[in-house]
Amino acid sequence: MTTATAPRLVEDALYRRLCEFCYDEADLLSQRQYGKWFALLAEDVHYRVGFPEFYEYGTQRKIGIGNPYFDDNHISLKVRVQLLGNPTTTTAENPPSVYNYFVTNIRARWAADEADALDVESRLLVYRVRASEPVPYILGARRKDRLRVDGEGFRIARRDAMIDQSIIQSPNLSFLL
Amino acid sequence: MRIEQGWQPSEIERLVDVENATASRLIFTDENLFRLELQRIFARTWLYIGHESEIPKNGDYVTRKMGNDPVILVRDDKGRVRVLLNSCTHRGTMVCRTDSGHGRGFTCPYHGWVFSTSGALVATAEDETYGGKVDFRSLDLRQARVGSYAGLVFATWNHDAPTLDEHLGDARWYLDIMFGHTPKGMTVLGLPHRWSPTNNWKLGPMNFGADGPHAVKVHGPIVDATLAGGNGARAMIHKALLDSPSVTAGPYNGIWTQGPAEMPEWMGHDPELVALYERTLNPEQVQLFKRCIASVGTVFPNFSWVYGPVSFDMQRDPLSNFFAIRVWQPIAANRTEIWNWFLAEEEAGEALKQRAMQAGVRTFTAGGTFDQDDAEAWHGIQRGSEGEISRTLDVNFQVALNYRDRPIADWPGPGVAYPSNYCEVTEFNNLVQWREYMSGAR
Repeated sequence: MTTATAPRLVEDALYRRLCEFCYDEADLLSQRQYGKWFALLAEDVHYRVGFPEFYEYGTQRKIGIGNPYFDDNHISLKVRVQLLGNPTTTTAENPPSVYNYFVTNIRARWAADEADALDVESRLLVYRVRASEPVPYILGARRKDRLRVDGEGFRIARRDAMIDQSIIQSPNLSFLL
Repeated sequence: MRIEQGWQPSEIERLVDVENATASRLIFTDENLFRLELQRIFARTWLYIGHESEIPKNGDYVTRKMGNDPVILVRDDKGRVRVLLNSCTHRGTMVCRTDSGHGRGFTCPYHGWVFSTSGALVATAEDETYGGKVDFRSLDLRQARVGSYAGLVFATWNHDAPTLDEHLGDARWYLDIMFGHTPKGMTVLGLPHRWSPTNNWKLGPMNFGADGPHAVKVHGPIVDATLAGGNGARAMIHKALLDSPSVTAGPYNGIWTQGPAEMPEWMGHDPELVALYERTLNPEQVQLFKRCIASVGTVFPNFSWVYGPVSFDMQRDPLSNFFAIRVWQPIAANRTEIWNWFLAEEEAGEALKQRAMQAGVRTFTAGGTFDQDDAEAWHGIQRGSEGEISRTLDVNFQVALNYRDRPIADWPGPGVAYPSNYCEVTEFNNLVQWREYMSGAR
């Protein structure tokens, strides 16, 4: 083992490109442009969305292997975006919901274990209004991504999101984070 | 009774027309009926609480609901599984406010009363201040009757109810196939997923009890996409649903959709585990299980399961099976909380458990490719049934009129089976049982 060193900050120009990437990605998800969003993924992508548990301090215990809300790879995400992207194939998104995604608190470091890759943290707020439910649904999440530098852009190789609701206050999660 | 609750037994009987296979839509919308359900169903019959594998060690607990009462499912310090009302006998504070945990007991956050894991009152705020005038043994936490079958823990407040074994009766044969098909049984894979559809709690159990006719309409596109067969896959599923058995056995109703004869047996199952199934189940149970491509069922009132093999690309993503348990918690006449657990065989290795988990969360949960669309239809039933005119109409299960008098003659299992998942007999049976409990017939 080498001595641990503080992860390297990324240069200003790269950080600027990263912010633009995050905003562009949020816009694609807001506009339900799932095909274009899918093109941002690496072939070996691993996409997970977990949820919090409420426990008394000092009493937490692990139950089972854990089951997040989403645990997807390139194959299953391809099917998801195919369905979500075509309103005639999903009752939940036909008529399509109105979405706004807000991404903020973006922090990036060079990955320690992979060349030309970044560890990126961000916070996400999804604001959704559905045809069947005029009261907006708001879902916050913390995202930890592994992004690979790909030319002028990036590829999402890993996403570990943690939503901030233990009981989803919505009839479904027919969208991506 | 009429003044207090608004509903006489004879009026309730008329809400479900058994002969005609219809029911009044008021059963989904009326707030007084909802309150009566909490009394006459949820406070009286056996309810699913949790799986034994959620509390493997003494002192482990999880919090649950029985109707609108919060309870604690706990393995006490002697290893006995108990269900305690989560309400301090002093002033009523919930003594446990977490989802799960481990401890030596429960301390009320208000005055510090302490209860053991078996629910016994151990200490008040200051025992001496009672001067010996109160029998502390009368102030233990209220306990429900507990029963367990195939690792499934049920409880009831009704001390006159039959035993759990008597209550489940013929349903046990089918529970064995789902949850008792290996010597060590099933284990939960994590905490429950919970989400809140905006519909009456009964729509879920009915759909899982099971609604064959909705499957192709609502889930056809995902079937086409995942089985990668274009309309061929949908046509195969359609035919399978039309020709497969629906079963009613005691409080259980459900479907066992069978793949076509040319389909391999035990699709998506690990051969080593299959050897265990064949040793553990009887030949008739094995026969029903080995070519099953969907088992969806409900044990009245609000316990359901769904099982099936899943692949998101038949060429590149090997089939894997998932097992899910679901409880439909009544919140209000027009609001439900779904609690959903994924399970796998205790004997399955880590990689197999991961694949079972992934197959489950990709299909049947809030973000599941199958599930996300069902809640939309149920929301529509609720909104389409609560108006001055729409609430006077019925919900219709009249395919049952064509099937209910011709059960499968040589059905190898207990109970009664009908020759199609489209039969609507078993789905409607959930409401026939509802009528019996609600009118006081049982």
